[in-house]
Formats: sequence, structure tokens, C-alpha cells
Amino acid sequence: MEAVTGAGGHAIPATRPHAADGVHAAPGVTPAWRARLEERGLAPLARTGRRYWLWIGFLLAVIAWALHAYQAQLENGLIVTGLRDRISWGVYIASFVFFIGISHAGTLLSAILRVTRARWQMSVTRMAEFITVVALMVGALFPFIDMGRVDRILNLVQYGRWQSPLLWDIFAITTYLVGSTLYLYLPLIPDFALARDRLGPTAPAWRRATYRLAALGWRGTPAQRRLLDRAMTVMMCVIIPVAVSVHTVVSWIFSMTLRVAFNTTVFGPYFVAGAIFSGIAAIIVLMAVLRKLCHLEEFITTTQFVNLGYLMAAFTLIMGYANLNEYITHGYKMEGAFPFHFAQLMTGPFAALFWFYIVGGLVVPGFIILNPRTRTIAGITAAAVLVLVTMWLERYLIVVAGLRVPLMAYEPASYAPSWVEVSILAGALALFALLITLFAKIFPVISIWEVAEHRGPELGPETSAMHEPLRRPAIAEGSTT
Amino acid sequence: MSRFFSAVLVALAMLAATAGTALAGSLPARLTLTAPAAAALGETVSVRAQLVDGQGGPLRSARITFVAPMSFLNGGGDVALTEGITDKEGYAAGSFVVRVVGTLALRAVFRGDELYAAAEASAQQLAIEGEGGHSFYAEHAGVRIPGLNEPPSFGQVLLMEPQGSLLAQMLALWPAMSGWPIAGALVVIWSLYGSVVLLLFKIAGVKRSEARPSEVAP
Repeated sequence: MEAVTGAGGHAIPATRPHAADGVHAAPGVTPAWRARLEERGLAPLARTGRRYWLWIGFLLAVIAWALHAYQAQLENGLIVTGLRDRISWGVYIASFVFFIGISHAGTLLSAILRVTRARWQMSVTRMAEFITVVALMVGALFPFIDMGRVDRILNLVQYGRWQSPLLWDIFAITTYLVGSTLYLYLPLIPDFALARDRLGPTAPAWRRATYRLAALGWRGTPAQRRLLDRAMTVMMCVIIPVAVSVHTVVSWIFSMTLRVAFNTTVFGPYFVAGAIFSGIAAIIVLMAVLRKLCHLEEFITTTQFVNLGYLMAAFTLIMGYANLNEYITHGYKMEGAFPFHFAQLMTGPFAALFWFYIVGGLVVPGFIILNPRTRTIAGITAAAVLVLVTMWLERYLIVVAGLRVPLMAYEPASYAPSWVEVSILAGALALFALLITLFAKIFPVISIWEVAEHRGPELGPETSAMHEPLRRPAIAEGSTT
Repeated sequence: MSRFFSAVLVALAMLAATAGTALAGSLPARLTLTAPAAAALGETVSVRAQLVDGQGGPLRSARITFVAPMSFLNGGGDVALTEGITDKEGYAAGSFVVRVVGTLALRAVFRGDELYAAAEASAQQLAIEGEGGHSFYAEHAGVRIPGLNEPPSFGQVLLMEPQGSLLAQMLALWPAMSGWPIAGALVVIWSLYGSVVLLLFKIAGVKRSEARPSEVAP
């Protein structure tokens, strides 16, 4: 294996000894393949090109503009937004639900796939877990931005009520963020050790010190493997109900509010399904981007895209079913203000967004994925982008159209996001991209040891994940990485 | 001729309408209000008013509104607390839950009808006792752990008289208790997180002298 040297970077001496040398490996893993895997996996940590800094600069500029917009909001109050007394939640809360939704991508999906022993997912779990942590960090900012008076945050603690879903939400998100961070960290330990051992002395001292500290003295001994296996099993079992509960609690913020359009019991499972749906889309998009930028074509193949695409297609059906269930039940009875709500959604001011969501988010992506001609990496990625956009719109419709239904005999309010809200949303997206970019610079974007030990190379088209024999992805005792 | 009769009819109608307007609400009505002098925060207060005509005869089927001046943010005005319809003896009754501490200047209002003029009555100020001078809702705000920083309580539910079957009473408590199962789940989850962190410490504590895996691997 050749040493890797990047512009402005440092070498990865392939000959440097590491605890992983002589490991138990998945079928088909050769030393050359493993060397390529390590080289590709660790290369972003060593190389930093000019385009990287340009990208960082662009993201920082967008964030700076968003901070300027937020400063305007702090100075003048929420009057600079489109929010008023009748429609008091808008882009901010829609984005909050959206980001919390895509945070399900990672941990939940990664845990489910690990529990179900789906070997094909080993290449994408790390990216999925990145998304979770970053999306939670960004999404959790929105309620505070929506508060207007950010100095009153402490009131949530001082005057919070156990009976309030808002307080439940704070606890749920905090719990999920901590759990997701732990779940991201555990499988990173062997990779930190790999980075510690592989990155040469030319790497900055802070970076070597960080990897040494984060690796927790990992040498891949049987005892360490047993402990790591146990910790990952605990987290796998805990994180699934935690992730489900988080989005259920988010849905309760709506369904426990006395509003006509929120008055439904389907919101819990509907929000969870929507979260997983948009989460899968987020993974596909990130996978496509990092695959291209980090040259991971050999390790992230059509298999991952197609399998995640199938999963996304299945969720278009689940989401379609949930929508049908919701609209046909209320539409059949047309009680109270539902005629107004249905009219505004289907033929009124929200009709274009609503039908774009139904057709563009639930019908077209399914067709793209199920059609063999369009079932390509580019096609599946396009479908995922469509899902992400329409799922944001879906949250916008729930929030804004729901609050627009009059509670009393007054004229329906109108809402349009102001430049402040749009700028802050752009800033949040930029912050999301920035954190992912920084994470990809510090952590290997694929779980090198898991891919080497539990997945291995694709041997041919017939060994697609759908037909692979199941194999427990536990950490084999006595093997090393 | 027909034009003449039409003009007469219109004139008579206008006269009748004018006379009716002039006569409506001109008869005097008198209202008296009976209300307690004091109440506790959260208590249901019953009020009663009697509406009689100028000769003291009871007026039935009249709507009486019980109001009190209140302010909220930058606005203020009379807030209708409850209302009732007078019975054959002229009595109208209503009840409401007091939600603020301090004093309440209660009034009963009859807005008048086609025969009787509007009337109002006030009672002595209703003194409402409560802790700290806060509003009713703030009474239970804050994260408080029963047994830790406050005695066991189920919030405002305890302020009401228990009604219905035991099951109904338990269901009535649910809104106040619904946070506790979540708190219990949080304790379990965070304990498991703690156990994972302990495992991390154990991983870091595995002695360097332990056999290298390449040495023990088959």
C-alpha cells in the first residue's frame, strides 16, 4: 500500500504497525482490499485541499448572514418575522420538526439495520449517525429562535411543568442527543485507534492527541472487544425506543394542542414514519455526496443505494396510507372546521404545496425507485432530494395550514416567511452542512473496521445484500481492528 | 284613493314604530346581587341575582350576566364570569372558579329588553385568598418533585371536590400525572447510558499487558 499524501496534508504510512494487522476479516477481504479501504477511509483526515476551505468559507458566509438576520430579530422582536398571534408557528417550527425528523436517519436506521443484521449497511452507518447528531444539534436551535426572547430560556426550567409536552420534548431531545452521541462514539473507538496508529508523525500534534485520547487505549484485545460489543448491544436496544419516543413527543406538541387540524391520534406513528422516511432520504443524499467527494465508489456501491431506495419506496406507501387514513376519516365526517381545512389544503391557498407534496413526495419517488431504468444512483439520489424537499413542505403545511384554521368567527390569518426567517433557515442548512463537513474531516466517514470485519468487498452482482446470508455483526472475539 | 290609504298605513306604521321605540325599555327594573365576601383561590363561587320590576314583582326569563373588571397585558374591561336566566321568582344563579388572588368587584348586569330598562347591581368586593399574590395558573408552575421540594400533590385537581366513581376520579387525575411515567422512563434510559459509560471506562482500563489479539486469534 502506498502512503497517502494530500495537498497541505500529512502522510498515512501504510507500513506503520496497527492492532488491526492480522485481523479476522469478512469473506473476500484481501490485504490489498483492506489497505485500499483504510486509505480511502482515512484520506479525508489527512488531505485538505483548497476547495475544502472555499466550501467552509461559503458556509461561514451564509451562517454570518443568518446571524445578522437573527440579530435583527433580537433587536426588533418577532415582528420582523411573518409570525403573528394567530399563526404563531411558521418556518422555524416546521424546520425544527424537519431536522428532528431527519435525525432519525442515523441512529434509528443504523440500530435497526444492525439489529436485523443487514450487512450491506455497514458502509453507511457512520454517515447515518453523523446525520443524527448534527441534525439534532441544528434542529434543537429552532425552538429557541422561535421563542423570540431567548433570554427567557431559563423559564423553561424555572416554570416548566411536567404536564407539558414542551417539557417532555426538551427531555426527549436531550436524551436522544446524548444517546446518539454515545452510539456514534462506540463504533468510532476502533477507527480512532486506526487513525492513531496510521496517521504519521507529520499529522498535527492536536490531532494525534485527540485520536489517542478518543481511542481509549484500544488495542483490540478480547476483553476490549467483549466490552465494546456489550456497550453497542445496550445502545442498540435503548436507542430504538428512544428515537421512536422523540418523534412521538414532537407530534404530541401538535396533537395535544387544541387545534382542529392537529386533533388526531395518528400523529404519533405518522410523525415517526415521516421522520424515518425523510431520514432515509437524507442518508441517500449524504451518501451520494461523500461517495463522490471521498472517492468511496468501491465501498459504497449501488447495493446501498438500491436497498435504501427500496426502504424509501416502502415508506412512500406507509406515508400514503397514513395520509389516506387521515384525510378519508375526517373528510367523510367533515365535522366542525374540517371543511375549511380541507378546502384550504386541496383547492385553496395551500393547494399547490399540498399536491406537490402528495405527487412529488409520495408518488414520483416510488415510481423512480421501482422503475429499473431510473433505479440508478443518480435516480435514487434525485428521488431522495425530492423526498427531502416535500417532507419539509409537509411539515410547513401541518404547522401553518393547521394554525390558519380559525378558532372563532374571524377572518383566517395569512402567513408568509420574512427575509429574516428565510435567512435563518438558510443559515441552519449551512450550519448542518458545515458540521457534517467538519465531522467528515475529523472522523472516518465509513466504519472501516466494521466494513472489513463484517461486510467485505462485493463479490459480484449476485451477492447483492438482498441475498446475502445473515451474519451477526457482533465483534468477533479474538479478532482485532 | 288607494294612494291615500297607503300613505295612511305607512304613517300609522311609522307612528307605531316610533311609539314602540319610545316605550321600549322605559319601565324600571331593579336588580340585587348576592355573593360571598371571600373565597379561596380555585374555589367555585356561586352568585345569585334577583330582577324585579318597579312594583317589586319578579321578572322571569331575563338574562343576567355576572361580570367583573379585569385587565390583561395592556387591555382591560368587564369580563363575563357566568350568566343565568331568571326563574319565576326573578332569581338567576351562576357559578365560576376564581383564578386570581386579590379582590374582585362583582356586578350583575341586566341589559334590558323591549319593556324594561337596563339595570345593574354590585356586591361588596369578593376577597380571594391565595399564596404569594400570583395567579391561579402560576400556583403549580415550576419543576417540583413531590417528596423532594414539595409535598405530594396532583395539582389543581385536588382543588375540586371528588366526583364520580373511583375510576372517573383516577382518570381525572391523569392530566396532572401524565409527566411521571415519562420521568420514570427517563430514569431507566439515563441509567442505561450510565452503564455504557462505565463500560467505556472499563475498555480504557484494560491492561496493556493483556495478550495481543493477533497472539490469541486462531
